Amino acid sequence: MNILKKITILLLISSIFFVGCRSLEKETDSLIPHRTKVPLLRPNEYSIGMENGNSILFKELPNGLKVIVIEMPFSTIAYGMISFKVGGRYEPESHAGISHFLEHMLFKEKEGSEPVSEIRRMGGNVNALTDYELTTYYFTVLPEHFEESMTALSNIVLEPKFDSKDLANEREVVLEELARGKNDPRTLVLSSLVKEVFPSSPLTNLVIGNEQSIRRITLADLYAFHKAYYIPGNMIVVCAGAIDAKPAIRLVESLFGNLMPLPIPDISFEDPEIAVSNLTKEIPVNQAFHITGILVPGKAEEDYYEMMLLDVLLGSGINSRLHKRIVIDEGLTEEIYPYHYSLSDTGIWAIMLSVEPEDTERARKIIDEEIKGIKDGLFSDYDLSIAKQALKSRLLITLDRPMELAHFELESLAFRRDILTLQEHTEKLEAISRHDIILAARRHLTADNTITISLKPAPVPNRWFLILKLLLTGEL
Amino acid sequence: MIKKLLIIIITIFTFSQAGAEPVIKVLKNGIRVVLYETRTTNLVGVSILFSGGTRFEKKEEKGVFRLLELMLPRGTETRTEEMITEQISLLGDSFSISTTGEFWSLEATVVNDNLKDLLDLSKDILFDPAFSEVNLSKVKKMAIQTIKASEDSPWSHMSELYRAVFYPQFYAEKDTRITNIRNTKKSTIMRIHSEYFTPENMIIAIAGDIDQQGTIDLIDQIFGTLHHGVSSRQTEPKQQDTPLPLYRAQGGGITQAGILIGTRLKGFNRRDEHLLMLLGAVLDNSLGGRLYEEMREEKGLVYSISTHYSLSVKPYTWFIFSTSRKKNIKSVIDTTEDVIKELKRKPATDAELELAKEYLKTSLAISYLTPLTVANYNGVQLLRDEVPESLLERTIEIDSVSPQELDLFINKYFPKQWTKLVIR
Repeated sequence: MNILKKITILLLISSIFFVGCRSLEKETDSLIPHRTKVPLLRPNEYSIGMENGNSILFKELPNGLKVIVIEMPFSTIAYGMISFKVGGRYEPESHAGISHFLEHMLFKEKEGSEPVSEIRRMGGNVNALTDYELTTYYFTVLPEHFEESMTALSNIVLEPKFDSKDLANEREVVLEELARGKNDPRTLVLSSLVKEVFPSSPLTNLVIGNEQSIRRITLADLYAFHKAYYIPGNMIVVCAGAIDAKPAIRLVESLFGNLMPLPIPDISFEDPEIAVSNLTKEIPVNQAFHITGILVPGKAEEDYYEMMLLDVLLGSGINSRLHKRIVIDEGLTEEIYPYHYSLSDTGIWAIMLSVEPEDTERARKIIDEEIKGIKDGLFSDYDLSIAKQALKSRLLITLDRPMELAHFELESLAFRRDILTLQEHTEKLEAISRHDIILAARRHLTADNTITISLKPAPVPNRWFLILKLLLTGEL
Repeated sequence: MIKKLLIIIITIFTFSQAGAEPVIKVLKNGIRVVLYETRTTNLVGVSILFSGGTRFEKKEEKGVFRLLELMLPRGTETRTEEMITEQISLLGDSFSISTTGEFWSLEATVVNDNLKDLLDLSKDILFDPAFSEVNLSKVKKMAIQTIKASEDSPWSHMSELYRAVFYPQFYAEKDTRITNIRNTKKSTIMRIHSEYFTPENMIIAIAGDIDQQGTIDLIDQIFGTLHHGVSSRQTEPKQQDTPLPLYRAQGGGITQAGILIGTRLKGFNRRDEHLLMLLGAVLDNSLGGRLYEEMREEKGLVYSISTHYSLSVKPYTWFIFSTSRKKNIKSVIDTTEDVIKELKRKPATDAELELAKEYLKTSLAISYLTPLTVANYNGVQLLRDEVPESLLERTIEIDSVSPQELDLFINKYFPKQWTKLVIR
């Protein structure tokens, strides 16, 4: 029954996408603010040779839409995606979850206009993902169906077809998704972390929103949100796999080139404020669930690459200091999960584990010691070189398929305003010295930036009270 | 006709890019090897399997076989734990050892240049473990903690209930497993290791960017010197044909209930797996299928619902799993049963079948981009004494299923009364 275990892990992984919100424009009741254009770091059209015989072509259309085509001549599939710079961070608190709700609603069809079914009939896998700063629609098909599928996907995202009946039904589906995300102490401890790291943000309700906001969203809200954000200057189209770049670019131009350029809504994100440094909750669990989270730089910020290496040195992978201490040396648990989730200008690094309740303090002490050890420079140049090589190997393994490479380049363009090849990425990592890492650790792994949360077993009589409370309020 | 021919030609061309036939070799010491060369990647997926798994645990061993998985990477006669963790990290951290009801497996993905390093490391871990007492006490503690932590996972509750109901002979309560683990001696672990980790009980499956002859030579050079083992338990323990309950429910959910509706597939032939795949795709495919449309799009009862089958241990099972808020339990059960009963009254249409086939072909093409998935499939097929098929062969099999075949399957295996398991 491995599938059920996998579902548990997927729940945990999916909760990553609900981490790290802060923002918003709180000063008005307006759903849609305004924004000025930020220039790219390279020209409006260029191509780059990549590793493994792949190549990449970038073009910005006159209306502001950006397109990336990744030719992967040895692939057997074609992947297409249309992404919008909007997500959980772009929503007022009253409408938390509207980006995600809209993503669901755009898949609704009406007789005579069934683009989702068109892709499905060609065997395509079609879906979407809403994050804090990006909402992305994508499909995977056999290469001969690429053109028709991209045409259908453009219809899905640009021509909403939903009505009030669809809204009522989909609201229940979204509420099911919300309930699913709260059905495990592992996701509860992660969502607690987000709430405490970004306490003033309405998006502590997570990308999906909360029951009140989900129930509040109207048909008019959804159409207004779509009209404001689903515009060419806010769009990135990525095509990857067994496709030819030039015809793909021509296709994108024909599908989107005539869209009117419109002003992009402006958003400013507030600096996060950590609410408390320590929090312990008693809930009906058997084991203790502990998380130490640290506020770290975002993808567009300095020290992002240093943070990637700190992650490898400290928590991710079997050779990390925390894995060695907690799993190998002391045998406290197998269930230890590192998280490094970054937005454009901030992020969270965290280590979460389950342990016997009496081992919680021991685990916490080890985490504190290892963080201090990094700041004190208790690692060698050799350790750093192993971390760099490990990270490079991971990237090579991860970015082998069109889907992963497409998402990697999408985020690179969206957050760093540039496309990076793996080689360029590696060069940035290689340039980092041990001294750089120590300085970055001292800047970011500070007590002020750190929060620890422990969920511990409640005394047995409280169990039913808490379950009743959960059933009545949906909250622990 | 011409269009159909063109599609067949395109399909053959597309899938021929993804690899040729799996090539099977047997080394002199009995190790079975299956290789699959693809041109779509620079990676190599490696799956090393040892037939056995928890179905062979005796009463006093229930829960114990997993300890071996935890002990193996904790140092060998020539490598310390630190050397092993460093090597795994350098290779990209895509490395795991696991225990199933059917086998132990070591799985890894590496860049093609690192294949030799990976195989050297694997041989060392699998055949020269140090088995220290200190480490045994550590892994016992961790294994017990894992069992206890699973109490805090609704889906682990469902997994337990599923195994207790469908495979009672192989199942033991958590407390029994914890007691067995506590009582395990090093000598027991060493005995299990020597009994199962033998060349004749072993399969090496490799897929991806490899040169077949060079890879066979490499495997022979590294593993060919291993001596025959003492013996391995060859006779598969028989599962008693215990009656299935109609309904079983227990607590464990927090905000949602987990609902499983399933049956055993008594007498089903593994070679007909493509029928199960196709049936699953008729009921649940990319944002569509009968279950998805009825349960989610029409009634808003679930966020996701999926079909599953298990062909690992006899008797095989087929089931539908979904989660929903607790107020919906009855509606989910009733609607799910209606949909699967409707399949008998209203068989899949040609259009539904065609869509399901296209969906599966794309899904297969996607899965063949991941070398480890291919290695796993080939290795498990060989372990089950089945013939690993190529992507093209699997595609043709799916394409060849007629509506009548699917109806026959449904009429033969779908029971009048389904077993319903609920984690409330």
